[in-house]
Amino acid sequence: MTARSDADAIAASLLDPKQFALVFDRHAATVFRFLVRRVGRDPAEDLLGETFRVAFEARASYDVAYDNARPWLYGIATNLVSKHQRGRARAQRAQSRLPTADTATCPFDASDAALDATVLWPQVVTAVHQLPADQFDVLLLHVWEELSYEEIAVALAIPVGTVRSRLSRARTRLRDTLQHPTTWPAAISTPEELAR
Amino acid sequence: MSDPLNPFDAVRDIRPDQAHGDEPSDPWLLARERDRLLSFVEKTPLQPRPAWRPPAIYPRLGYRDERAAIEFLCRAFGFRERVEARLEYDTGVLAWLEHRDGVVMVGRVNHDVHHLHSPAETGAATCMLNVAVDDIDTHHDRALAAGAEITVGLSDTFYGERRYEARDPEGNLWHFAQPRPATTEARP
Repeated sequence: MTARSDADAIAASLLDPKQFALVFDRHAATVFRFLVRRVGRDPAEDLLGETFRVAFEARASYDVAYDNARPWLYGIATNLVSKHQRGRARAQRAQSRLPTADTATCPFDASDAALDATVLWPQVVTAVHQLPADQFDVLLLHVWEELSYEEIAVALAIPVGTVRSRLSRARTRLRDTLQHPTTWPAAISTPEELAR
Repeated sequence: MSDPLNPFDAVRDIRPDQAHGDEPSDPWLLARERDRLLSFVEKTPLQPRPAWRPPAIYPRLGYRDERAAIEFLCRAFGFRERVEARLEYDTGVLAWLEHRDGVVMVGRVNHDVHHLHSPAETGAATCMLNVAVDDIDTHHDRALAAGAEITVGLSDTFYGERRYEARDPEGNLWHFAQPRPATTEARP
């Protein structure tokens, strides 16, 4: 007997909601690691639960032509990350006179601090942060999460051609920035730049 | 150290767990979130699916081994069973398999009441089922890999579709087709 696909479990969960637990069991650890990379440990715990609650409520619209639900979950998680970071930027703007104590929730801060002895990486961090948001999400799904073009297209509900063109633009832009150090900004300075 | 001329290598290097080692796995956290999800799931009232209206015409296919047929049609041809519709009888199963807005009903042969036979009994099919698919090449490869007997190979037709035909294990004939892009483009 072949293993049940995610699509089968999601279809079955319409009548028997507990079947949805299989989707969690298969993908929660991966989604959690993704969230930790994007927003840091503590917010990731909240967003993990939220990702699967949103997925459960949206399960009737899952396209059962896709056996593997992972790209779909990445898409939901990516949207929640954007929402979370927009909210965080707003909150920080609102109290911009106060020192920003919780910037440690941004993984880039952690790696930036840990690696400021290196010459290259902080500049890469800066360059990545300067990408437009649409290229940023596609880039991280591709390079960090190792999703295929097709999987990214499913995750973000965009055509595969758009995935290709965004990655290609991101590549060009990153290469330009990294090859022309005089155009580097001194550092990432504002919470708005961090919280994307 | 990454090659600065390959910016994606550099981006890989700044993945946080690349720099600091992977996050320790945390089964306790996952178990807690799983429990939360299940209690959320139990509290969510079942939303009735929109009333299902099968198409005005759809075929009922009789198979000697209808369970094997259902499994094969889903695996080889990509149908999805409408699971809540399934009827289980002492004498077999009735299932509805969907693809887009189309549906076929699959059950066991029934000689006495419905006079329904399988091509495996009669020796020949007397109808062909036509199915429109999105990616005909992938569909073809999947059917072939699943053991479908290809009766007409994948090819482009003069009337503008790319198609192939296949026989299922009991001899029903299936025609799968995708319109060819060149013929579906709007002409000024």
